Amino acid sequence: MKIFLNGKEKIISGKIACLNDFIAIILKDERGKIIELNGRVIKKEDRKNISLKDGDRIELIQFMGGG
Amino acid sequence: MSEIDVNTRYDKHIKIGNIGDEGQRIISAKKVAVIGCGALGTNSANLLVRAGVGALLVVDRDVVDLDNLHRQVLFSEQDVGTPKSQTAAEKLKTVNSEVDIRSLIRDVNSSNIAEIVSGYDLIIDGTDNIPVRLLINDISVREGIPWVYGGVLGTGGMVMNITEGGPCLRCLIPEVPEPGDIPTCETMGVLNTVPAATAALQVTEALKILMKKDHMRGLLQFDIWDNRFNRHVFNRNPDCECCGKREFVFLEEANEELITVLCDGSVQIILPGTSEADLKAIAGKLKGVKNLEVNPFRLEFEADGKKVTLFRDRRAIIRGTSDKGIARSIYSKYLGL
Repeated sequence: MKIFLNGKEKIISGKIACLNDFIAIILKDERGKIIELNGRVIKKEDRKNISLKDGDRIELIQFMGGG
Repeated sequence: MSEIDVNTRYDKHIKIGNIGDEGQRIISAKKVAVIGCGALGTNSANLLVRAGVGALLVVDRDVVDLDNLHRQVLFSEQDVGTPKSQTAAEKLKTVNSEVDIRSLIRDVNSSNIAEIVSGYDLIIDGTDNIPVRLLINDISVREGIPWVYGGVLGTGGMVMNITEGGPCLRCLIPEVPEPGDIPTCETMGVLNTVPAATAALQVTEALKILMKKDHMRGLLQFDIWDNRFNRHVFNRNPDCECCGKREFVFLEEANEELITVLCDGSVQIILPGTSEADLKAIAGKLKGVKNLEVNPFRLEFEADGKKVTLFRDRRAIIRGTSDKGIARSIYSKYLGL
C-alpha cells in the first residue's frame, strides 16, 4: 500500500490494522503532535476506528507553543 | 514632529496595490489587541504601529529579563526589570504618535479577557502557552473577533488565521495537551529570526483580514534554517467543541485561584478578585527575606532559596521551583494571602 507521509511517498508492507497502529510504529513520542489524515485532524480516540487505504495523505505536525 | 504628513509616512504601503489609499484608510481605522509582549508580541506590535493601525493594545504580565533581549525587539538593556507592556508602549509611541497606544500589565484569564478585547477588531497572539491561546480562541469565536495564532520553537514557526467560517484552534488541537507535552523555547531554544519571521507573517495576515481581503487558509508551518515552508489546509471540524458546538469551556472556567508552571519552570500564582495590592505596605511587613526591592509595579525578594515577584494585581511568580505546592506555601508564608 502506498501512502504519503508529510508529502513523501511511503510503501507500507505488512499488516497495519488502523491509523493508531501506524502512528505507534512511526512515532516514538506523539505528545504535542497533530495527526492529520486527508485534510482532517484526527483525535486519538478515533484512530483505532480508521483503516488506512492506498493513497492516504498523513501529516504529522509538531504544535509550537513558544512565543 | 508637529505635523505628520500621512501620505508621506505610509507612501510605500500606498504604492503597493495590495494596500493602496483605500487599504491604508481602513487600516488606520482599526483597533488591534496584542496579547503577550514577548518575541512575537514585540515584533508584531512594532509592525502594526509602523503600518498605522488606529489603535493598539499591548498586554503582558511579566517584566523584561536579560535573556529576552536577543529576540524581543522593543527592549534594551536599560529596560531589564521593567514591565514589558508599558515599556513596549512607550517605545511604540515614539515610533508613531498617530496611533492610540495603550498597555496593560495584566495576566489574561477567564475573568478578564472579554473586557480586555472588547471593542477590538483583531487579536494577535503573542503568548507563549496553550491555556491562554485556548482562552483567546474561545473569546474570538464567541464574539466574532478574528485572531492570528503564532507559535515558535527552535528554528520553526507556525501561523494560522482563525476567522469566521474557518477552522478554529480547537479544530487543530481537539485534545488539550497536558503540561509538558509541548516542548518550549526554554528547553529547546529559539533562533531569533524565527519570531521576527512569524510575526511578519502574522501581521501580513492581520492586515489582509482587517482590509477584508482574501487571507491564508490553513496552518503555515516553516523551518527557517532548512528553508522549508508547508501549508496544511485542513477542514473545520463540525463537531468541534468550540466553533461547532459553541461550548466555551475555557471562558467558563471558574475564576478561582490559578497556579501554573510557566515555560521557564517558574510557578505563577493568581488569586481571584481584582483589587490591587499595596506593594509598599506589603514590603514594609516582610521579615526574614533577602534582596528586597519594591517599585510601583512590583515587589521582589528572595526567601527560602526562591525568588518571589509580586505584581499589583496580586499575581506572583516564584522562581527556583516548579513545585506548585512549594510555591503556594511560600506565597502563603510571606505574602499571607
